[in-house]
Amino acid sequence: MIKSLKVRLLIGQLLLLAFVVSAFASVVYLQMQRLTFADVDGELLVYARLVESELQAPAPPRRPGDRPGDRPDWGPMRDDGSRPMQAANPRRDERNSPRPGPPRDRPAGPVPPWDLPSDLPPDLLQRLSEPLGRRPPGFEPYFVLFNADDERLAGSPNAPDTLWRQPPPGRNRSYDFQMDGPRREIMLQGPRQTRILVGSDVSPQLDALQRLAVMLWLVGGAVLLAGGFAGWLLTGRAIAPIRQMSALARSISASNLSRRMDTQTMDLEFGQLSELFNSMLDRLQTAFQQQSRFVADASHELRTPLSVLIMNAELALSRDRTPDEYRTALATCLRASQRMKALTEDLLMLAKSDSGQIPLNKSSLDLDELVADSIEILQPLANQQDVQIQHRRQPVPILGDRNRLRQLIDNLIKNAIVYNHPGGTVTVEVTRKGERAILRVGDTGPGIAAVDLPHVFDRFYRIDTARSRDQGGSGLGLSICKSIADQHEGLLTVASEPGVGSTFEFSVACPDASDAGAPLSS
Amino acid sequence: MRLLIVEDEPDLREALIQALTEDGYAVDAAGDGSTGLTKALMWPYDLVMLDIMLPRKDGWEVLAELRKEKATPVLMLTARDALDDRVRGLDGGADDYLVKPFSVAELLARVRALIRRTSGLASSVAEVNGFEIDLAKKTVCRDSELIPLTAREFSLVELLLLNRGKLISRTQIYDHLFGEDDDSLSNLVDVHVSNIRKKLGADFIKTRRGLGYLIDD
Repeated sequence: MIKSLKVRLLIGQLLLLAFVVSAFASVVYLQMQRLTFADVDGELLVYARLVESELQAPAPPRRPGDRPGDRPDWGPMRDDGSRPMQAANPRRDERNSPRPGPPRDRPAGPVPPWDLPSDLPPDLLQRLSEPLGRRPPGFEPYFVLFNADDERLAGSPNAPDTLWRQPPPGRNRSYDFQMDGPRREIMLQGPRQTRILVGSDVSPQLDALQRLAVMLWLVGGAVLLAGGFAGWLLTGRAIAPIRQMSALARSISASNLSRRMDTQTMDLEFGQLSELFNSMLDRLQTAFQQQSRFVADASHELRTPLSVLIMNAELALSRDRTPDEYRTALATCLRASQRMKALTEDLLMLAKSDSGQIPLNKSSLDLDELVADSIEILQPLANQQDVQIQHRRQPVPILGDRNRLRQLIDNLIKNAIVYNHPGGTVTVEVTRKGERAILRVGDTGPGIAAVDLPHVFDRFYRIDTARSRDQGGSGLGLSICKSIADQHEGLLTVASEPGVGSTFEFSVACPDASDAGAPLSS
Repeated sequence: MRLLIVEDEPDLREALIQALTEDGYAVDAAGDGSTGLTKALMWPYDLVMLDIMLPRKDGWEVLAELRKEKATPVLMLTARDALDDRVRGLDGGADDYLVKPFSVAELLARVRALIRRTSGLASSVAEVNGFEIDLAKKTVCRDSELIPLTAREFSLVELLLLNRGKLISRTQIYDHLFGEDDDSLSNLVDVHVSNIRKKLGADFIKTRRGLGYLIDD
């Protein structure tokens, strides 16, 4: 299968053109042929009718010495073209014998077929040799007369040695024709079961037809060539945008994503395709930019704990230190290392879930049960921070990945505990509103300023750096929560009032009754 | 010499303070941009070490606003290595740029160089009255014999040397030698001057009564 569209189009086009040109040329040729032969046949037919009428003519005026019923003795034509005037037929002799008396009337009953040359009008040949009326130039018809047994009875001097190769024309056909080499012949039923064959050399006409054929071939060929060439050019021009697009696509790499197709001058269909191509490139570029920003931010976040590690180690080693000083230094180094560990783990997870590598393992869960588990684990931290957790319970079934949802819940509740005041409260509420399961985590902390609010879920966005770092935060906690929420097709929002507190709300659709038992997909 | 460190990351801030203090500087610190700017405008620091990612006011803002009023040398600290950031910093008035993580040695060398450069000193070695003072090694020698000075004493010598030929008042000396958390008496300066004279000679440091001290050109 040929892969090139351009070549396939060209072949198809050429085939179609060839077909059309052939059909046209054939029609022209055949029509010309038909007309030519119709002409010729017409002339031949006229001549044939002439012969016929001569044969049917009453007996010519008697010449002296003729007796009634006398007919010249034509005899069958010999191979050398001569015609004996004698016949060896006794019956003929009988007729030739002088008979006295008045001319005999035609015998009653069916007229016997001519098989006797003597029956033929004596000067048929002579009469027919004379030019009859107007004939087209070069038109020299001949005739041959056959009897019922296919024997030649008579013929014009220019008649060739011809045979009628087909079955004799039936009664209901007026005439039939054949081609014998360069001659065209037609045959009629003549009177008294004779058959009249008239023909003519049609070489000039055949030559003309041949010249026509040659010309049609030449012109057809030329048309095909020209058409093919034009088609090639046009197809090339039509699919030029595809080549443009290929060249552009080839030139694009991660470092060179800013080029776009120029859609202004394009045809409609390619314009649409190009615009889609461009918008795909836009999305790719944004994704790449986001990614490199992420990588830059990540490496930035790692550099600070690294500085702490290096500086503390260097300082501890720069001179003799007391054991306490060493202990402090090592503790600080450990803290920094743990931060880096948490950061790299979070980063890895975000990166994986970005590229879709972590499939969700969905199962039927009770949101409230997850919350209860989380609170149980975090209670010691709350006690340490002197913060109270209030839990308003309501069993709400949802469909989700247990581990990841626990991570989300843990993060939200931990944040609420940490970003709080001593003696403050964390309110955890699980409810169901219509078709949605809702988790609300509120704190009585410092709140989030309006300017920061839209950015809290951004990666590495930090408001109170000292506090979050204190608790080993990586700056990614909320963006991980958002990522988990997105994976579950849920919503994660925040409302806050500085000085009063913040409330985070996670909602997700409840499974319908029809979902139970349906195959789980992530 | 007195320095200000503006860095929000507590562990790093502590490490920086320790490194610079142990190298003989008086060090003040701030944990956010706002406080940092206030202190930088209030006191005559010999160098401000400024992180870029700061809460409340970021490093760029602090730099811009500081530069409107003071020419204090600024050393910017950052975790971002982008060329744009470096150009922005230097164009914005910073004197140098350090990318984290850095080693203590590099940090101290840069601080020294910046301070020396600002005072117009060509090299870190100077000669006064036959004494060779090496600011980098923090040594004073005479005929290759090392003369021990305390950290404070050396700091004072360094201050007068970096402002060689200029009169520095007692208060000024105090402000450049002690941090904000120091509540020593200002006449401690006189004590240090007297101790230095004992070790390096009476006219190592010249006095202008009522005006201040200086080391002669």
